[in-house]
Amino acid sequence: MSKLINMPVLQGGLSRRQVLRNGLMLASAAALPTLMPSRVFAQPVRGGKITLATVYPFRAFDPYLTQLVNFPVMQTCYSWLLSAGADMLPHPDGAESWEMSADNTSVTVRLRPGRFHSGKAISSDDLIAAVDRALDSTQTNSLHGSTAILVKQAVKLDDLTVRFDLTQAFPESTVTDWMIRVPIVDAEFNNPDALLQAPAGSGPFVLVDNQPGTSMLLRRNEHYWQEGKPYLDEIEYRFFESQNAMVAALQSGGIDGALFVTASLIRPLEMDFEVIPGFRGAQVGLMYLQADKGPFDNKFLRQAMLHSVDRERVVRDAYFGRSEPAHSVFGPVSPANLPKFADAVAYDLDRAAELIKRAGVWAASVSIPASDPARLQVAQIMQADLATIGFDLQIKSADQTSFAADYRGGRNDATMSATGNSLRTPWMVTNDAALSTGEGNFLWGGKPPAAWVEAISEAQQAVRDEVVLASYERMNEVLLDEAWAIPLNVWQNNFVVSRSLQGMSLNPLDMFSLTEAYLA
Amino acid sequence: MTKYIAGRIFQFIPVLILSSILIWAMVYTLPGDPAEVLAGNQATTQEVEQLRAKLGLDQSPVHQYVIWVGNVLRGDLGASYFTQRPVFDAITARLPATVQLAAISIVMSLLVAFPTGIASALWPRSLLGRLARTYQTVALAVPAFWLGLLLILIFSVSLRWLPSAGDYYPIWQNPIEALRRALLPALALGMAIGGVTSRFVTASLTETMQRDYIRMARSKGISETRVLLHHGLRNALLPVITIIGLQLGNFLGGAVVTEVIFNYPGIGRLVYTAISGRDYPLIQGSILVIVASFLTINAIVDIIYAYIDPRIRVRS
Repeated sequence: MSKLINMPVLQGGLSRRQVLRNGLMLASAAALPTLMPSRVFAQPVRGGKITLATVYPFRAFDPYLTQLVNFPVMQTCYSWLLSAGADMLPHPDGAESWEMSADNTSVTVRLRPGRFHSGKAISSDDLIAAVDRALDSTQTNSLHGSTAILVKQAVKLDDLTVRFDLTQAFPESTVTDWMIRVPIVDAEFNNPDALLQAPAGSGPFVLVDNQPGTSMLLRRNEHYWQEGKPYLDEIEYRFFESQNAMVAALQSGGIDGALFVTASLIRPLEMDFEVIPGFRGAQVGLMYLQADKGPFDNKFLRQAMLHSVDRERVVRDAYFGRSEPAHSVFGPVSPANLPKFADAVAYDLDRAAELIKRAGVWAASVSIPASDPARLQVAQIMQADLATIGFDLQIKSADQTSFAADYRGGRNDATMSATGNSLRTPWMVTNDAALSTGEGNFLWGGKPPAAWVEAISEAQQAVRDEVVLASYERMNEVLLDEAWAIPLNVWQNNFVVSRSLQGMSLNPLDMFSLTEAYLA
Repeated sequence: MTKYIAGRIFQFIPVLILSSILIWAMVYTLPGDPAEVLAGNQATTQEVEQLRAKLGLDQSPVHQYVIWVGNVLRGDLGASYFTQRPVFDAITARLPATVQLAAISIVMSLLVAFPTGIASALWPRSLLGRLARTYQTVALAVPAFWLGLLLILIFSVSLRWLPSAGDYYPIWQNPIEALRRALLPALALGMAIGGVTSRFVTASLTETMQRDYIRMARSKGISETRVLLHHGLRNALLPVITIIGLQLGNFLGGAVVTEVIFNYPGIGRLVYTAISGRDYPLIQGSILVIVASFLTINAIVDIIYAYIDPRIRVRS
């Protein structure tokens, strides 16, 4: 079994305030496991079928594409090397145990004996193929960035044991954060084309039927490694085009739960349904500024935006209170979320006016996807505030697909999006192209600031606690100085389910699990 | 008659070719890129480029059109970018749902349109006639999507009598469930187009009932019912058939908004999803099938027209 998980920021060299803050954070995290599945009132009952709905168009059964749209199959059809509890700590899943080497340059993983849905036995070869695919830069996958940084090679020790040789010494928390994202996939089908059609996992539910764009039916995996689980016989996913239609179906009893419900629709549902908030800080809403061209190539103008967001009002008016102000790119439970930097982004229009005056630029635009009324409202709040100091912020709205193309193409002055960084390795924010240190960073035309590249490099190499903490401070300092990612709000996904559905849980990535769900 | 039908079918070809070019041009003027959608927000530019090459999107639009037409002529509409499933399968899976919804909607609209249209034409000053005209005005003024939302709020959310999400059940397999599921979307669509049809019935019947041959029939002592059914309605039917045919064609094209509101798995929702994701093969294939369906229905209407009115086929 593993050594104790590293919590570097909690050890030696910290101020009293820092220790207290982190202690409070840990206490909250420790309380979370009991809080998250708080709706467990009765003994789980085996059997039954539930119907859940989402408006996100499902794309692929590929666990390497961890986009929100694919979440319905992530924790249902697949097991992962490790699972992350609401406490953010790693727990055995596809891996029975793991052991870091004494010098932290390798980790040995013992796989749990088991079978894929196809009946084939899980072996080391599947894990090695999984890591090889993650290392392959020619195949689209959201695991490539962190794998390339962490893993040199995967070595088969026996049929169920694999050693990962790391590129350097890393804290165990970094390695386990990565292992939480490594799926157990049948090597034979571990490629984007095969996983477009059907899953190839060993998770608690097996795909029975898929009607693209309409519905998907999953059935209990009778050979799942957790004895007696899952409790439910079947899960049906229904795909909707409209949030209103989905909520109407919930209210009329047509479905048992609605996933990712927009905040504006929650209030009328609270009386009759259970509203499960997503993991606190699974994502942070940000305003991204195109820093390689005008008008936001001006640093003073970018810094002015830090002080132009009335975050309290954003939370109250745009998110109906179902969110909280964000003072950092790092989520509230991230070890890099350091309170001492909160004042540096305080809402202060006088300070913003001063910086805009120094910049000598008085107009810019922000692009918002038309399907996101909340972000549109955030932009309107900023627009009204900036107008009072003579700055003209124009709002451009586009459909989601045009928005995505313009976003990546760097054709906007500014946009609003969200980044996920809820685990314990803050430098993994670089998985988001907008925050990456490489050529993929489109906000900087492929050339992110040298200070950012250095700060991330320091963070990646830091093993000793005081160095780790210093690297977090450095990352925050660069983010504030270069100011291309303006924190807006701590994003909160909302899951609304019938009161009879209990035991649904969420991991820190907001991937929901139905392994322990049951109908009371 | 055979020659007439053959002529109508022959007219399809140029229309289909022109439509395919127009569809292609429209699709390529849409901003956005399917490779971007498919790759996701976190993909690198290099990954997006690889995906674009894999989908053939790195070729010129003309080159892609030529390949697509060649495939279509061989009966291959291509595969969806997102599911990799054949476009033909996606369309045939959704078409029956749309046809069924269109048929139920048309029946509902006719059930309302004929009585109200006749009442309004024959007894315009009576209470019945006034009620009929009110229906016509309201039906023309109220959009189907608004009526749909209202129906959902009343019958699904408040009363919980009918489901708000209109799943598709083949009517020949489970007629009760099929009607239960299709009732609200069909009502929303049927009521709206019923207003148009009812107006046409009123206008056409009002004009017909003032003709000399109607006066002659009445003077011969033929009963009013017989005058209406045999002489009035039959002659008033011609323009009404045209409008019903056009409405049916529109339905097969997919009542997009209504299908989205009711989450009905028809061809309209398929097109909506395809356009949202820029799934070019699916957009092109679906719209081509819709155009072909529209042309077919128009041809059928023309043939029925010719059957009812021999003067048309003689002239043709």
